[in-house]
Amino acid sequence: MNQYQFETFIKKSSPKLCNYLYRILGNKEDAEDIMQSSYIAFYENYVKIEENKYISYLYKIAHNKALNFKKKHKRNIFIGIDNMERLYTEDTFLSEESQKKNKAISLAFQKLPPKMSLALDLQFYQNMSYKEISVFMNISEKAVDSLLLRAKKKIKKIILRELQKKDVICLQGVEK
Amino acid sequence: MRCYEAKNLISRYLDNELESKLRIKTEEHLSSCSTCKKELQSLQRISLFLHSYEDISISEDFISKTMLQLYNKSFRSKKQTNFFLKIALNFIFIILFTVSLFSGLSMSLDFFHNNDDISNYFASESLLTFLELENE
Repeated sequence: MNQYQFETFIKKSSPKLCNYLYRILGNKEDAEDIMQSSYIAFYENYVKIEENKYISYLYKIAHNKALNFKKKHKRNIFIGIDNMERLYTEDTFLSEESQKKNKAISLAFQKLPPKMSLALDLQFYQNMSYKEISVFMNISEKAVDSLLLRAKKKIKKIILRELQKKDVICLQGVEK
Repeated sequence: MRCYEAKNLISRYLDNELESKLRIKTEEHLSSCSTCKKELQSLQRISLFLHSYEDISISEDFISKTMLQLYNKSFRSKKQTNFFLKIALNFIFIILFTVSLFSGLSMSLDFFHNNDDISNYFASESLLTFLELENE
C-alpha cells in the first residue's frame, strides 16, 4: 500500500471508525487521538493481514486501544448526564437536540461490555447482517444472535436507569 | 409456539433475520400474545432510539495530521536505522582493525620466534660488523 492508497483507505474508513470510537469513548478529541494511533499501528502491520480483513483488523486495533484508554482514564470517562451540557457544543454541525441524543447513546454504549457495544455498533451503524457480524467478530451466528439480544436488553436497562436518575435527555420513543 | 421460544426469536424477527417458516410462526404468536407483543414494541423503541444517532464529522485536518505523523515516524525510524547501521559498521571496522593488527603482530612475532637461528645470525652478524667497525 503506497502513501496515496493509504490516504484513500483513511478517507473511506475514518468517518465510521470515528463515530464508533466516539460512541464508546464519549469524546471526539479522544476518539480522534485513538483513531490516529490505530491507523499508524495498522500501517506498521497491515502486510501480515489479508486485504479483505483490513477493516476488521483496523477495528480490532482501535477497539483494544480504546479499551486500554478507558482503563487508564476510568475516572474521567464516565461523565454522567449531569455534566453533559458542557460537551454539547462539541460538533457544531449538529443541532443541540441531536448532540444530546448522541451523548445519551454514547453514555449508554460506554456502560455496555465491549463485545456488546461492538455487536450493536456493527448492526445499527454499519448495517451489517448477523452473518457479516459473525465473520467480523469471529463468532458463530448463534452467538451473534444471543449477544445482540442481551445487548439490546442491557442498553434498554441502562437508558431507563439514566432516565430515572434525571429527566435531562429527551429519549424519543423510549418510555419509562 | 411458546412465549420462551418467541422471546428468543423476537430480536431476530425485528432484524429480518428469521427464515420464512419461523417468521410466520413468530408472527402468529405475536398476534395472540400481548406480553411478547410488548417485548417486541420495547425492542422496536430501543432500535428507533439507537437509529436516532447522527454521525459526527471528523476534523478537517485529521487525514493530513495522520499522514504527517506517519511520515515523521517512518522518517525517524529510517534515521534511527541509519544511526544504528553507522554504529554497527564502525564497530565491525574496529574489530577487523584490531584483529588484523594483532594477527599481524603475532605473525611477525611467530616469524622471529620460528627463525631464532636467522635472527641470531643477523644479530651476531650485525654485532660483528658493528664491532669490526668500532675496531676500525
